[in-house]
Amino acid sequence: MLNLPAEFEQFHWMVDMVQNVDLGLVVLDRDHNVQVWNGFMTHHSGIQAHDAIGKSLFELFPEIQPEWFKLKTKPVYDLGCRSFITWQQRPYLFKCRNVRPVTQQADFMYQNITLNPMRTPTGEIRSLFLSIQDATAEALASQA
Amino acid sequence: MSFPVLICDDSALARKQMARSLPATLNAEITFAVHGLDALEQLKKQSFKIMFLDLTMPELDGFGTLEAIKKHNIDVNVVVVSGDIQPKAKERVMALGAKAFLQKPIDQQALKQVLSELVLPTERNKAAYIPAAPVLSPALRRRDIYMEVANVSIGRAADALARHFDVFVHLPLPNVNIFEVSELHMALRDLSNNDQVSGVCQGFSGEGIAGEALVLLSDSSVSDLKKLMKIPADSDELEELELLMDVSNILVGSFLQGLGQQVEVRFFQSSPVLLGQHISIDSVINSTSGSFKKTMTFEVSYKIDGTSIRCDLLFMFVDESLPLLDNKLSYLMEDA
Repeated sequence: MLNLPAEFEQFHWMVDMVQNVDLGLVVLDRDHNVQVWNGFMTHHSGIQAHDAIGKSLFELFPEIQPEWFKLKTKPVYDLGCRSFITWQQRPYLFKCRNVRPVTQQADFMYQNITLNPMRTPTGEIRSLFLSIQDATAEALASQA
Repeated sequence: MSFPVLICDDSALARKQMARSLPATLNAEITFAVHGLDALEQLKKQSFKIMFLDLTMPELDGFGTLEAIKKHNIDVNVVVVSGDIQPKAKERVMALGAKAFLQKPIDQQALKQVLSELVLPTERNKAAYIPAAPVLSPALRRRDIYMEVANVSIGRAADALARHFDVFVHLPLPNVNIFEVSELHMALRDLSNNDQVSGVCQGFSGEGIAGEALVLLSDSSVSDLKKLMKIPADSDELEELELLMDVSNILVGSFLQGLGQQVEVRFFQSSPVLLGQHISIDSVINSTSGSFKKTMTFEVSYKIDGTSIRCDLLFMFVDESLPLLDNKLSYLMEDA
């Protein structure tokens, strides 16, 4: 019984980290519906988690082309390997405001995105998660 | 009564693993062949009940061997054992008269199933005790092990490519070498044939084993690749770049999956980085003089059937990763 509170505490830490890490985290199911939407995503996109969860990514962001995005998720589901969207190819997936609108000359946040497979305990891949990194500084440095 | 079996594979490790996988009750009398021509010689000398045949081999590959067996009406049950697991490879060998197809590394259950279909119960030895048939197994070198591990991983990557684009990929024989920096540069120069290339690199790591993959696509391949992807011809550079990145990522990711399964490590690739588009091989070479002394390099050249697509893939494991990888693969050495 003594161990239980410690485990609970660890679990809370995990949730806290996912919510507050300086990285966007989004879980999508196979129909591209949002399952997790962390603090970074809420703060930068302005969409609240309760408004995002359960909705299709294409409904939330109509500018994302479904055909193109499905091509990106294909290796994740078929091969179980990561897939990447880098700012050099697509400046952003989710249009967010640049976090330093005053001192940085960018109209939006450049993003490096990784699509990662998520395995069920039996090894099946039924969902994936996106990690979204702010690459604005890198993009501006290389354009300078 | 002994049961004559022919095992044809260019890899010493694969021959050994195959021989060891056969159940003792079969009382197999095993003969080895190192490539297709060798196998045809053996088939001329004596008759065999079953032949286990690899596909990717020098001199004469498995497809050619099957054709020759058909042409000369040689009576033998051929079971193809291959790392080339593309659906179209399987279709082709079955059409050429193979009786079954087993994926490398061999799964005991699958082998049992195939043997139960091909071996009559009367041919099986029911005796409780069978003196172990002395299998004269070939001596294994470290390179043999790496070659075979590379072979299986390459097969996975080709299969991924084949499924993604719905094409048939010609599987090459891999090259595995320990290179010093200057030797790596020579190997790169050999690949290019003065053609301009596009290069993408991608780092990877798993449990301390780290390395980098380099994907080189000749310029003549890119337009054919676009056709496969059904991208409109007038699309801009940006989409070409994305296509290049995606193809590299698929090849690297699936190779690492195959390798990871064999060494029991989960590898993670980092995001692909463009070295350059339409550049000479020399500028690729200039970008490979990083901080390493020695690298173990797996080299592969893929060709896609019916296109001019040629793609070179290099996997480089550097310095401190080599003993770790040796350690992970030692199980293959020990049970030899």
